[in-house]
Amino acid sequence: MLVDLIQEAVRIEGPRGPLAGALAYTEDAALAACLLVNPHPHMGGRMSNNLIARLAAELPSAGLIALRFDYAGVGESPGEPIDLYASMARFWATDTAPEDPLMIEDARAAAGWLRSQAGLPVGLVGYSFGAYAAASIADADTIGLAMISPTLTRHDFSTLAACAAPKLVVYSDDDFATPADATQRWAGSLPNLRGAHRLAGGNHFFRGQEDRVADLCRRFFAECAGGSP
Amino acid sequence: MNRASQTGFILITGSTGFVGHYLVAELLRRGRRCAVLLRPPLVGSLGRLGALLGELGVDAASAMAEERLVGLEGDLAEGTLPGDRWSIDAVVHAAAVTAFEPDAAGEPYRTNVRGTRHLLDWASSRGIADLHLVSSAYSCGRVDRPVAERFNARPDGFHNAYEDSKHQAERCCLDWGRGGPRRVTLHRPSVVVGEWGTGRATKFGGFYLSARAAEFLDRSFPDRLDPRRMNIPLRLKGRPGECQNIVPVDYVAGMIAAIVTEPARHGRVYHLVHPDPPSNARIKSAFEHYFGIAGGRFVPPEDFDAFDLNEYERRFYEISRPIEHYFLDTPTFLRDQTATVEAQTGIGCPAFDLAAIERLLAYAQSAQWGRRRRPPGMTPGCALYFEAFLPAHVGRSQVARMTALSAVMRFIIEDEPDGEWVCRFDGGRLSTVHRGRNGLPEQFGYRTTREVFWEAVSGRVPPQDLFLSGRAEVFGDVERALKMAMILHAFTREFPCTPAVLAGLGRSSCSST
Repeated sequence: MLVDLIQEAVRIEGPRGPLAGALAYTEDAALAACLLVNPHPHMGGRMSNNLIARLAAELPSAGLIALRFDYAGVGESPGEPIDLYASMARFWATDTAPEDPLMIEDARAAAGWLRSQAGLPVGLVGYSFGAYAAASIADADTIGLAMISPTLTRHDFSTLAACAAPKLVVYSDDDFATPADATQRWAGSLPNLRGAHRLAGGNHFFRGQEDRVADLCRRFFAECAGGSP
Repeated sequence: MNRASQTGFILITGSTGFVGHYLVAELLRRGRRCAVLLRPPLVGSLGRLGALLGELGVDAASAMAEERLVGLEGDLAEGTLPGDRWSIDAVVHAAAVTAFEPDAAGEPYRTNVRGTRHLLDWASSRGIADLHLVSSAYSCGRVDRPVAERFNARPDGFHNAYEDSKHQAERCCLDWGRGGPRRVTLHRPSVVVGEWGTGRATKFGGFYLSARAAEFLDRSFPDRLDPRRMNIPLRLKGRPGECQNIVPVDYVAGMIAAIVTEPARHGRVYHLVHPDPPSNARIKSAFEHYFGIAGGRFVPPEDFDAFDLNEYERRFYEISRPIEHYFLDTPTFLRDQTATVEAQTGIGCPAFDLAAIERLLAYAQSAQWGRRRRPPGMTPGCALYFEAFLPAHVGRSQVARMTALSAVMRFIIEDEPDGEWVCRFDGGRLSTVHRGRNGLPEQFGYRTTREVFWEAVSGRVPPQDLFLSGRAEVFGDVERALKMAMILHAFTREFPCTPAVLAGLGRSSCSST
């Protein structure tokens, strides 16, 4: 990133109480805003996540305001403490947690907050479970939906068949949540797909590949927002 | 099909005890399948037993994997005994509390008598007809005649509560034996001491108390050249020709195993005592030679003035008083039936010459008389965490609620010597902790350094963050590994651990072994 980045801690009203968030932007006029939706908290999903943090740092260079946040009760967000063991017990057995629908509502609230505060069109980037959450809240106003390692083997993404927003899919060769060949086929069936990128030598966590993923997203959203990548 | 797979199990109580673990090792060597009754948490007790057996050259992990050794969770004194999953052919009851004086908890009667009754009730309910009680030659109590290898229904009193409790346990067993087509075998060792060849022991009461009293004299004169070392004004209450009937633990275990595994030898009483025990004079000579001291002299009990003790005598008797009567009132034990087994098997009770006694002393001193003994084979640090802290805490943690949690995982601490462990969770319970490269194949694992390991188990840093930041690696089923990392993080927040916490755990472990 060659421009000065401004980072601002924010507090978002969520359905379960306030959510801790962080805005990242530059002094230049922004073209759009982008919400970053975290992986599942039981899998390290916090706004400090390696990939989420890198996306937040890189997207502003394409004229975007990036917002990342922690789900209620996770990371820096206050909230009712969950019964972690009960939640983990279900997550261990089923790959879903009782809090999953609530986290989607957190994401919806964050997107609404970003839209109202920025006064700009909003795009969504979701990573892992966050891809499912982002897909769940995408609507007609969504200018772009980037899904990184979407959890195809865990969640139902069928609502996207009716989602007209431009889409980007980023996935890896070796990803337990997103088998590469199946992801390729699935991506090919999505309406308004702008790109499906398979990263060689990676897995679900993109350690060491954060820049590559961020660059793909930055170009995608710049195009969606009508700016230059 | 080998012999082991054709037979049921021999249930052993007291298997982590001094005689008990030697006996389990001997039975396993003889190809017998052993079920060991262990106090909860089972995994911790199994870990201790595995380490003890490892010191005797028996691979407990392999024995467990081949179902030649199984652990059954239960508590004799509480009467919580296991179900009927395993077929038990015989019971060897070696669990005992050896405290001489009664305590507030009701020991030694609680374990030695009530526990025996619980075991007998359980054996009845299971239709077990073959019972072996590891009793004591001193269950005879006060006697002034040679003690035969049979039950004495009318003893003349006891020196202490331990003798009384063992006599009561014998009576319970014999009464039980008359309640059906059952056979009861009584194994009565005398004072069990360390292995004859090495001196190795895990319990340092009895005979060792007099050795510790001698060590006190040694330490009273730190200057080895101090002439007073060789002229200590110590009167020893007893007669030089009286004998101390000590027997090596490996002899005792070998004999019990030989009797248990041969049905023709069942239904008798065996005095597992030394046929030629060392005299007080020989033991005194060995102590003096070993510690480099001299000066003590025997005084007949009738001439001994217990109210006129010098400072050395006072301290000496403070230490050795619990066993004082064994220097004064040593019965003669008849051992015809035992000698028959010895002749049949070739097992002999080796002589306690000066060198053998000194080996006992050397081992006991190296083990600090059991005061600071760590679980065998365990080094401080990560090993204590995996082999003691985890087994002790997982069952008490919320992880135990996660009944769907079944997984086998490996932990590799790269800069820890021999720093590799496999942990198996079954239904939320930590069922196995195996140290070393072999063992259970893992589904996933973690690889890191000691520094990062301590950071993680402190509960301060989520292990997932350590992975995502590249400070720890996962392998195998990465998804499961990451999920488990979250569970482990919750555990570390519930039970944070540091080296200082482990140091405390190490001390408490030591005091109980």
